[in-house]
Amino acid sequence: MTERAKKSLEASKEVFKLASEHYLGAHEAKKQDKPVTWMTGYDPVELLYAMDVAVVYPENYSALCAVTQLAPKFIEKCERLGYSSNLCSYARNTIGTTFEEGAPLGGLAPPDFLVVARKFCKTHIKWWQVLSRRFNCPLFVIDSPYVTGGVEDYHIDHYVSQLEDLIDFLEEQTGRKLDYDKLAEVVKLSDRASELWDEVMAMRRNVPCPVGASDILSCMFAIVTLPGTKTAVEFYERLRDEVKERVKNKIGVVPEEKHRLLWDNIVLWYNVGLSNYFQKFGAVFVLEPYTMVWSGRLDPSNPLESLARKYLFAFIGLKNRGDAMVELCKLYKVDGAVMHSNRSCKFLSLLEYELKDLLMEKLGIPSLIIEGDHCDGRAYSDAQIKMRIQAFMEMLG
Amino acid sequence: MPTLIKAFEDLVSNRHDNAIKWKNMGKSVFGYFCTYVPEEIIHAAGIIPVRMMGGSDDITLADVHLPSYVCSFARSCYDQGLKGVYSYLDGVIFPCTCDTIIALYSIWKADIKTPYVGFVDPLCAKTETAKKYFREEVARFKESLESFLGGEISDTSLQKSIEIYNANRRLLKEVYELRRSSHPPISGVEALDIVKSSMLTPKEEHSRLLENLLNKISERDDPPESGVRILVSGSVIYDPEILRMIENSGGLIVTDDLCTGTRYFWDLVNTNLPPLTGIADRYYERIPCPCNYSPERRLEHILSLIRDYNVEAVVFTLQKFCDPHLFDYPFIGESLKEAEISTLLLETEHVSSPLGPLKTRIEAFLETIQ
Amino acid sequence: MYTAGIDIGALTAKSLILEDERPLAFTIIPSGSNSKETAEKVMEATLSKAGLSQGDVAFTVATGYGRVNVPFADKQVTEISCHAKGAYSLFPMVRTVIDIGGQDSKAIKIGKDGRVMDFAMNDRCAAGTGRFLEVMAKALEVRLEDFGELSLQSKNKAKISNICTVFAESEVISRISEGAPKIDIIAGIHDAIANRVFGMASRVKIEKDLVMTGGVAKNRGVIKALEEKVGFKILVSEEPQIVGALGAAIIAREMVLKQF
Repeated sequence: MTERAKKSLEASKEVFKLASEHYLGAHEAKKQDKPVTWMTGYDPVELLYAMDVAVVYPENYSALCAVTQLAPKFIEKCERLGYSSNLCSYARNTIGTTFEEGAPLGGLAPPDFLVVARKFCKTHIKWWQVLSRRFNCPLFVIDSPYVTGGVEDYHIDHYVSQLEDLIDFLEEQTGRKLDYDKLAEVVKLSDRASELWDEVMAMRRNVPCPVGASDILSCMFAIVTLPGTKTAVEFYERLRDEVKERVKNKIGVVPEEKHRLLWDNIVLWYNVGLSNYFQKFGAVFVLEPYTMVWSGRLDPSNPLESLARKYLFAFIGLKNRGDAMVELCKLYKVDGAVMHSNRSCKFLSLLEYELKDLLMEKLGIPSLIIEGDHCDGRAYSDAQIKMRIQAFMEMLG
Repeated sequence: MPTLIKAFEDLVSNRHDNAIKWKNMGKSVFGYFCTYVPEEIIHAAGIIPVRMMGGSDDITLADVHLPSYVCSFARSCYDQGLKGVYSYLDGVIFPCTCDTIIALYSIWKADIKTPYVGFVDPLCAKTETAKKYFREEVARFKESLESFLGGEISDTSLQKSIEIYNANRRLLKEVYELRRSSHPPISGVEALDIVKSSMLTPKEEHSRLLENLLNKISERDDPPESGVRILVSGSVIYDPEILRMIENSGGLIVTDDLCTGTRYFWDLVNTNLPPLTGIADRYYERIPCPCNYSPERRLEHILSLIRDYNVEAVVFTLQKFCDPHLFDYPFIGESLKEAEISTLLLETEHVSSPLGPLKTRIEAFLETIQ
Repeated sequence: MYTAGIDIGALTAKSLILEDERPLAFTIIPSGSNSKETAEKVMEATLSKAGLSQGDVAFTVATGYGRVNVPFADKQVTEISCHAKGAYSLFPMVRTVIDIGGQDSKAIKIGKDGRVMDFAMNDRCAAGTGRFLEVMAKALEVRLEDFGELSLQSKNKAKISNICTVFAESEVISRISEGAPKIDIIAGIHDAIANRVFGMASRVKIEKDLVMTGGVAKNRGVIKALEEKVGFKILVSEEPQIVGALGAAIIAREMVLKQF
């Protein structure tokens, strides 16, 4: 039994159209013989937009497949091809859509080449290797150095060197030269989108919280897939204005805000309406590391270095991730955490038991760990999940 | 002869007792989680590097901080750590290989009090930029060790360690070469112990044992029974039961594509390069593990082994929840099918998991080949 | 003042009536296929024993798997809160509760004041639940009620290595045909279920006093196997199956008092 999320914002209603246009746009680009590539979120897409390459996102697209309840068909196809059912369900879904009819929005437009950065998980790399074989096209891998301590100069230098290599690769693949003025423009727009996203996020610290997870999960589409575009900036200006109004008028997500919660990890895309159930208890999600992480300020006068700083993911490991989580919980006045133990995402899930202990130890905040999967809902049991949520809410009091 | 072979088996079963003995002799011992860790540097620092392995007892404590969808190798190592089995370690090194091991780095650091917890990043890209960065990464690893030990690791000591390691690799390869014959003098289970023991023993000592074995092997009067010639492909085999099952059901394992097998020793350090560079390049360019690289080169390695060792069938022993291997499997499996090699996939769990069904599948598979 | 607690589990339904703070009467019956009918039946039985009618009850709290199907309940509360409340009322020093039910198992961490601090559950897999024991009892052709006593006689427990109930059943059958004594096999079965439950419960960091509730707590063999894992004695009330309904009735009382 899955539900649509109850949304509070007008801006959220625009997102389906934004997404459709984006994915259909890539098919259009293909028809016009323009280059198309597939990337993951948190890859330096600004470079590609600056070179007029159409970019689509298998992860975001798989979320879309899950929301529309179409993912199981493609996941099953992938498994029949010999892929283990324990692999990331985003990967299984995407691979399935390349072999099976009926994928939404015509499926993902086939890539001319592939680009992926290793920054969160190795799964991205293995998955992109499979895709590169599937489409028999070249794959460029960016090794984002793993930062478990502080960001060092050598981390940045290495990322920048790879961006330079990437530019060479793209120029070769597209037959075009990178226009550095265009890049500066794209970087400026991306920076503005991040600035606006950060503003919206900051407003969620207010009591009552003006916008909860239900809306943010939709509205994050642009920051993940369209950084560097005018569309993203304009969308976020509208979103920011709408949220600002709600703050001014003290409009919250629920009539009586009893609990302010953190959600950790990706959500259960096939049942985004789960947040509705929390709202029944007066609980609102005011903070999700997963939605916050996409923004990153950039300097158009120093594009490559600032792209490196943005995309060098510095939350690897318990220390960095844990410290950030503790600080954020304080800022956002969180009194409970819900962590999705997501079998498809070892990168995010494996540290959750430690993070749970940390939040209790440092802030006295209790956490509920819910076992699930972000894209494969075949084993989802609504009754079991809701029982745990209810027990947790009874615990919070 | 049996005693010679058993010596390798004992080194594996007695690994913890042996480590404690070395500690009592005043030596330092570091554990490492994967064969991408540049051992020569640890060795040159006068430390004995030992490969982390799962144990044979039930996993009872790992649930506290690890979810169930993690490979049994990681769960067992963590479980052993929590139980104090690895309390003798002065250090433990985690390479950035798979998502599980990367997470385990944090969890181990938080929960188990090993004095030095290190991290090494073998990369995923095959470019000049990456190669250069990895050389710097290895240099940083060396500096980190020097800082912890309060002493320098000289180029001379690195050169010496390289020679010792290369010698051991050559000897291991020589032992493997014996298995190309139509009547291999050692079984797959024995070969596994021979390689694993190299990861658990000071290299100099292990090389002596290997030399001894090579000298005496022709005298062996109880060689393994012949059978269907098998190549085993997988990652770490810390419990030999599944190999035993294959060899008790009419198979004979003649070679492998394993972390605890050919991938460990196949490539030498190029001694024409400055030592640190040579070490870095060797680890960067060695037979790739699925964790980092695309499977094409590994497939080549498997195909050349199949050719050289006259392999009749390939058995994949892949750990449940091992993403890198499971992502590669369809490609490698299909490619082997196209080359008309029979393949069998076995998904393995911890020691105490169902063996009966596996045995049936192995027997059925081997029957179809004989 | 009379308050009632009703616990509709997958296998058994329980109800209990409190007179102020004192348990007055209770009933345990097998659950039928219809939760609503079962609820009415079990409530009727206890009312009858108490000499009361539904109208005499000030507040009813329903819990358990079938809690949403109790139309006469004033509130539904999860088993986590109810088992904690019930256990705390019986054993004020309780810090950990382990409940092994027919189809699931839970561990609850309780604070000094009786509040739930943390919980863990297994409701995905039959191993570690009463179902596991049922399947084994059938395979061994031994009555489940005799399992506890029989296993205590074993001096050499068998090792059941399969994690999955279905495969473990095959393993048990093999052992029988190999001639292994039944008492040893049963001891091995208890060890296996204790392993699973211990692993799950460790997530809440087991602390003394540990109280076991639920039907399986009547099995002394399982208690012993678990005691070996935790390293200290486990407390069990006289009627471990009724703890959930007791807790529900206490919560019902608290809800009434809160209104004043």
